[in-house]
Amino acid sequence: MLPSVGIRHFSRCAVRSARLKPLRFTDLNKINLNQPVVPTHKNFDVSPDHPLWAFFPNGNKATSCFRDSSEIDTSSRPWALPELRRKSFEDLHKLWYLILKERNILAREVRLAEAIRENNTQAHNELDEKLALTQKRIKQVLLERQVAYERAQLMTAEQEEYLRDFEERYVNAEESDIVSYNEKLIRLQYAFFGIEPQLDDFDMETDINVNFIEGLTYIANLKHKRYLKLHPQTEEVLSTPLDGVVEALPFLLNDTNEAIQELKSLRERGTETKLDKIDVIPFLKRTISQVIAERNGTEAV
Amino acid sequence: MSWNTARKRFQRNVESYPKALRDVYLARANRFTLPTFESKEWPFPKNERKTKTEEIGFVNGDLAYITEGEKKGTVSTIFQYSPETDSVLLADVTSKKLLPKPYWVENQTSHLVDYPDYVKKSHIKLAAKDRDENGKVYYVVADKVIYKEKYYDDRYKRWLPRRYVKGHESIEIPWPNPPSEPKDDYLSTKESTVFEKSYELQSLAKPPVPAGVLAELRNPYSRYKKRFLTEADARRINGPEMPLTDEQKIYLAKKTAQPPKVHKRLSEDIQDFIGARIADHLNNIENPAMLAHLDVLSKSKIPDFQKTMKQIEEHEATQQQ
Repeated sequence: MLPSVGIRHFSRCAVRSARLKPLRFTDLNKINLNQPVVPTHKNFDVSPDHPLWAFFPNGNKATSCFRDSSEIDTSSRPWALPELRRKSFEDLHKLWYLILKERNILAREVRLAEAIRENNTQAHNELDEKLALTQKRIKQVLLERQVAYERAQLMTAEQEEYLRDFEERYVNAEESDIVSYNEKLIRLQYAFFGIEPQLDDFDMETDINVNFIEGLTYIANLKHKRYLKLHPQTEEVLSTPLDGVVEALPFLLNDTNEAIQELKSLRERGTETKLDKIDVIPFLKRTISQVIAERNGTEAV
Repeated sequence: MSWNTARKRFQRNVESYPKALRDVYLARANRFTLPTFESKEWPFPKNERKTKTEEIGFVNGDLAYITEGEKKGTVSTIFQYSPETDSVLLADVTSKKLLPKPYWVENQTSHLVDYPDYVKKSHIKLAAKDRDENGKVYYVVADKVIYKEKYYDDRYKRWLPRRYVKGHESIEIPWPNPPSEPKDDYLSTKESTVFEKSYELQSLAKPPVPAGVLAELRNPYSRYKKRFLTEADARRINGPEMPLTDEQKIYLAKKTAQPPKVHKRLSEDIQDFIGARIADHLNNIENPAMLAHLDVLSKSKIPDFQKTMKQIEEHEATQQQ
């Protein structure tokens, strides 16, 4: 039997040739049938650490896939803004993901309820609203902090005024007050310039930046000025103001007397200490990591 | 809800319809409700609902004086506020409703049940109960309530304003005890964990959130943050200069022809006269609060006055030259 030619249609050759064969069964008594597999979840092994367990309220210990309204949390309230304002970014980040996980569980349950025509999902919806409100508030808190930070960057006049005032107080401080002033200076250098109090806490990639250079210059000048104030009869070599980070860095790393000695030897040697702008940050990174390595008794990376 | 927002796009938003059409939908919805349980009004849209205690003015457990309807003139306890209809359920305002057997609750023996009725918020006034010195109970009904200083209410675990009767501000209406103690559930956080402080601003030089998070907090592709203006935008911002009318041209020509206005110092006679008038007036003031106010006022600097004085000085200087 040939298919008709000239008319476009799906090929039915295989079907027709199959039909030509006589439909015949083998001996039915000889066929071995397997036991039928009952379609229930008990017949499937699911790994206890399967990631989709995260969509169930108790993880892999879940006994049902849908909680009715009596099992849903109805009496908790959303986190309030003042409560969230006390929390660090890391805490808020954790809280965000805990909420997200809970919301995913609720969303899955509501989808399931739609599929099985279970209409009683009001408790799920109400809980989800509370969770979403907390998420909105977390965003709000983070945004508030960011806006405050950005505004603080614009308040340069106030910052400069404070720094000038502090400089005057530090330079003219009594000998008995200088310990507390030094502690204040450590807090100030972190508050204004982000310079960590401990060398070991420095992150070489991010912490050595323009802010750091500004802070370094400020601190070094402060200490240098105080030294000149206490020792009016200093040599000519020491009395000129500091110039560049090479002269300033010893004042951050060592105490003032050592730094002054270092400055003296630098100036007496008469080597060029002024760096090109592009060399400043690499120099700082190199020198600071060397100092850290020396102090820890290891080799610099 | 987050999981069916996509479907909302295809749903009818009846809230935005005019009232006549909303009534049609309400009647349609009522076809499927039990005869005595029809809803009579369409619920308020979400943005018009009142959810804050201060806005609502009362909490569950407060007393209310009913001003309209069958129970007019009686005092009853509020046990629920419904923001959807801006009305309350009161303990004593009920009506008999017919309930089919499938909806019966435990121990119910009759088809007729007492069912609470909604009372509009505008039909009640806040009331309070007190005892006089003889131990006799009397009620106070507040036509209006005003809020004053806030205090921390440990029963509600929140800050609440004190309520007073407007016009009789010595009468305080305290907030009632909450109907049930707030209790913890499986999602609650421990109080000690909540109060633990893990954030303190230490540095102005370090950003409070990592750079990658900023794009999540603010939309970097927002159309309000366009860096470049299109030609149409630029045109809209810089409107064309309108041609002057004939009248305006005449006015401006006249104005330029006039000599510029010159301010002169007041003569001593006039200064004395004004000074005397002001002194007379000030000497008659007895109210110490007013005097203190004027004292503060006298220290304020008026920029326009200073500008005029500067002009006068400049004018005098040029004349001397």
